[in-house]
Amino acid sequence: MRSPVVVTGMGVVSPFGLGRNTFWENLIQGRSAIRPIEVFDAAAYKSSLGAEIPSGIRNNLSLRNQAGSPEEDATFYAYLAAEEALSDAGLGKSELENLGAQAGLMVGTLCSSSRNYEILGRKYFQGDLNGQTPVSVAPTLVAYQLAHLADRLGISGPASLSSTACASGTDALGFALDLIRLGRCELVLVGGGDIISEVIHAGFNSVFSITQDCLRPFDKNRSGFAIGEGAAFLVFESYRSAKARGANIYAEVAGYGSSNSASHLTATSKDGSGEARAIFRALADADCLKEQVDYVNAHGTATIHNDRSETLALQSVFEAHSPHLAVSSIKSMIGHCMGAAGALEAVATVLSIHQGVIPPTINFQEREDYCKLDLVTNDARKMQVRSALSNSFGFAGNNASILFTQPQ
Amino acid sequence: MRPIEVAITGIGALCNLGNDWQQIVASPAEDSKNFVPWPESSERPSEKAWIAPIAAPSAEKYLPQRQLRALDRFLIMSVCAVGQALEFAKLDPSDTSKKEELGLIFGTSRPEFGGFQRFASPVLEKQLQKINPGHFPLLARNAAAGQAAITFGLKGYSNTLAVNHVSGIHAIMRAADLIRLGRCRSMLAGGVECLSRLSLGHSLSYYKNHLDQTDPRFLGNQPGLVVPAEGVCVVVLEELNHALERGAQPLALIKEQEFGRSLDSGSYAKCCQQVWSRQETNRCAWVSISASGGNMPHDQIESEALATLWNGPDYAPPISALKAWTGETEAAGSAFQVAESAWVLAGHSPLRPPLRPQGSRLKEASLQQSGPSWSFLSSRDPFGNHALMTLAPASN
Repeated sequence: MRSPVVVTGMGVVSPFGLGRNTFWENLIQGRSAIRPIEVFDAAAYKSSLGAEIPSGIRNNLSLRNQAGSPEEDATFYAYLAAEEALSDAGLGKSELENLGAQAGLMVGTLCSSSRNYEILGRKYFQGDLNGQTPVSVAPTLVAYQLAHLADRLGISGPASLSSTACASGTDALGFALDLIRLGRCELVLVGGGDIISEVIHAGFNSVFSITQDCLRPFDKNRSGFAIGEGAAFLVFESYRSAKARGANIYAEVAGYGSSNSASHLTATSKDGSGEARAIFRALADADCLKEQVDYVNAHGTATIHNDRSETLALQSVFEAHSPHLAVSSIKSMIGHCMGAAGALEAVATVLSIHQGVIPPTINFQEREDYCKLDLVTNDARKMQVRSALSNSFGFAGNNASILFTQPQ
Repeated sequence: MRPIEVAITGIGALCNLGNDWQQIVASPAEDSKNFVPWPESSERPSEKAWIAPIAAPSAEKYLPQRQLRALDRFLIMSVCAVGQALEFAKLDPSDTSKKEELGLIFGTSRPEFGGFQRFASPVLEKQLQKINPGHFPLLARNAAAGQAAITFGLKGYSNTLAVNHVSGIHAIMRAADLIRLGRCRSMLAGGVECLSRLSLGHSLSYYKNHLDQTDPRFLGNQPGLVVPAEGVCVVVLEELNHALERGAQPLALIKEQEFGRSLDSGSYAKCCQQVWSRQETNRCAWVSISASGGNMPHDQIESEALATLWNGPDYAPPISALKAWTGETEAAGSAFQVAESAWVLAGHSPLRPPLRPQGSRLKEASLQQSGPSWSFLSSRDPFGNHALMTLAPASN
């Protein structure tokens, strides 16, 4: 029998500010962090909305020094979240050093470093490189985040980076789970940081995915999302290790599933079958009955394609249990944090189990006729959550689901 | 319960040496420097600089003309390699039961530079009316895996890893672990890299002191030539029993694997020794290194660490450094290491003669060794990430 994998620490930097408690308190209060973007001039786009990290954090030199002065904002946020997660788990540098190669690092990100290659691209298109990149070479590569965190935190074990568009974070969580199950690590720090970049904002504007007012996932009058930024890390640890050192256990990481919809580079599968396959695999991996799942932290992007396919996927997997399945999307409050979304939403999912509260989908007014799910709308709901699923679906057909349960 | 053995049963590849694996292995060694001058349309580091592009891939077999006209070359290359790997392994993509299960993991380093160049120039030049939404998905690093999944209906586990040069071997290791965990019985995995004007511009700094050298240099500390290159290499991985049940012919078995971080030769040597000490033999038929010939700091760490493994007076294995011929294919390069090593263990000739270092502690040795022979792969990137793997003959 395989040893269970548990969550023993979590850290967050979100558009609400610094820290996991700030994140959680704002989520259960149903507050929105969506506002006009400041980090670049977005006035020329159809929508200028986003959910940025507050400038008080972004421009805080003391925090930047603490993070080792990374030359890239997603890495900066990632470091702060990682440090909080390790501290929450009771792990200092000496504990990590003692673990040596048994401590791993897994990152999921999409847009990390993208502002640096915007600078590079601008110079290049102007024919102005003169044999030199205008920024250091390393932070123009997405793997910079992984290297900076590993070196700064003293992690020498398995380290890798998953980049499956908006499913990056959840795929990183699945990778971390398997490393522990295979005995390659005793614990893995897993998560990622991501930022709003102008090019990505322009891209989603060009495909009419960005809302001009607010995010209304699963609402009949949805109008798209706004890009968010942030970082979240979780400490996944073998139960044996957690027990041995008396760590606080938030939840068990029970199962992971992935699939490719194999239908379109940007659209979800029309009938939800691709997404359903990942959900089904996560449940099968956890050996979990569908009736035992109480809550789904949905991908819930508030686009017609996603909301429809995710709803159909959930209803096809959960069948008669669908009306009893509580579903919400925290993207309604923090926007779509791209590659970091999976990690941020995993933290919210674990806290739902731990705290017995489900954060709401805000801005909700009218249900789709085809939707039979128990949508948690506008106000948080107190309820016991035995098992909860977190979904992430990305461009290029990537689907990923992870299931957490109450610790046994 | 016996652990699940993972076999390599197919290879698909494109690089400057050829547009499929058979072409690559048949390419004459005397044409070894299959490089072309750095394009004049891009800023050139010197008159002596080279690049190693792929000749236009012939993808008509896999993609209709309409798609061939619309798709980025990066996606077309990936589709070709996946199609070839499926054919090599005699896996029929139209077999519904396999299609449901077959998954694909790609590793890649900086392919988004090409997509970025196509999509982002109107954004950065504030000519928003010229934005082409069709180019937007090319910014996603997982677009290559996605397009291959669409083309062949691959609905299994799917991922894209981005850890610079070691990405390709990371992808293969991740796929092997999915099989070992029983999540699936077969996977496709490998690495892909694509040249673009912007990636060449980036290479001016990335490989700064190595682009105008005359020859690759290995196992020393003098700068050597680095040739920016593109390529894609995909292997088919299967649970050994699955392969045997369907009559496939495994090339080699993946035995030990480890990835992590090491910032100096001492710590990397320790990792190498740990991986090698877990083998059932002290005979190594084949060592594959990731050095591209530039003798950059990460290459030097690799050669110093490996020198501690086989420094006895009577034995030293031959060393393959394929990038001397393919150029620096980054993520694809580490997948090529796996493919070539499996090919050699299956009894075939290596793609190119092994290194014959002069005055090095790593000595030349014959390929014909007595007793069981294994292959040892070392792969590193400039950021301190490493990956180590050993392969055994399938008959082992």
